[in-house]
Amino acid sequence: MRPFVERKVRNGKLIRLNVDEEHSRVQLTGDFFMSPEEGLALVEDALSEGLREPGRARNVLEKTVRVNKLVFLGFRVQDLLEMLQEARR
Amino acid sequence: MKWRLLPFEARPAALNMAIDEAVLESVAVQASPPTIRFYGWSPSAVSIGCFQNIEDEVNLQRCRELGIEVVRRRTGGGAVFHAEAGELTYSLIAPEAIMPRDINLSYADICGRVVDALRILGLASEFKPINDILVEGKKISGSAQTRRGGVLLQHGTLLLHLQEELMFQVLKVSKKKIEDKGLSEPKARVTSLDRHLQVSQEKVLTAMTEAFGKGIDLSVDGLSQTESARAQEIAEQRYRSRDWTFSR
Repeated sequence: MRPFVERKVRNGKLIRLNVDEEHSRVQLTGDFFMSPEEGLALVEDALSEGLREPGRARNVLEKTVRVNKLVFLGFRVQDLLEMLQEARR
Repeated sequence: MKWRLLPFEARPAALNMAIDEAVLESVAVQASPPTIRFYGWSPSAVSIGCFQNIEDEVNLQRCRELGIEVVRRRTGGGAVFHAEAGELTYSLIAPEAIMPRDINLSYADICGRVVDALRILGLASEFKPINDILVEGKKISGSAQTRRGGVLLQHGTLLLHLQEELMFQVLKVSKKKIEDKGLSEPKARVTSLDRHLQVSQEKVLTAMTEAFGKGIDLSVDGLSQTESARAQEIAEQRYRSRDWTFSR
């Protein structure tokens, strides 16, 4: 597992996943925008679940975004999924 | 609808952010009209986006040595060096109902006013989504937006005079960010008004007021007593709080 993965999204923002393998937690940081901002904790919960159960990552993330009406600016769910995969290598 | 203009004043970082938030709260309960505010930073400060890791973005040791304040915003986006006398910051705080609903369109609308102000001053610039304004391909202005309680708050900067050495002593810029723009160093990415025009801050403020006031009924006023008192509270509870500043 890699401790962090960073990506500058083309025509978007810089996003970084910090992976705490011991506690199976993922922290998302960067210069992106998310509305509402409070949605970050939910996205991090979803990413952490996706780290523990890779097969469910897409469903969990997409559901979190849909149910909470989150809007991302500067990155997409797909970027997060690819970065999770990269972190697991 | 009447709008209020809060005239330029330079203040410490925590109070600047707290005033924007106190005005947002007041607009949300319709105790204040939609507001445009121009301000500066004294002393110089670094603001970071609410999702950024402070250690990744800021050379905290250098900031301490230089007496530069560090504040975490409520808005997303990147770290910004706000040099005293080197920058003009604006904020626009208005009910969502009278602004474009789509976030990208609202950035285009508000940043378009900064582009208009630069045009009034005689300088061509372009809005580059998501939140930048470029002159000759280099960034002169950046903005960040949040929406809370039915109110849109966007604040942004206009670089008047670039203190490059100082800026890149206090900001850590990710190599990935620079490489993506095809540049070898961060300095190549930014510009300031004084590199293109010789113009006083007063004239810049006049142009910004004209551009932001176009098509609206805008008049100068101050903060209400409630807003001032609430701003002091918010500054203390949030923006001067180590827990908030170092939350990531």
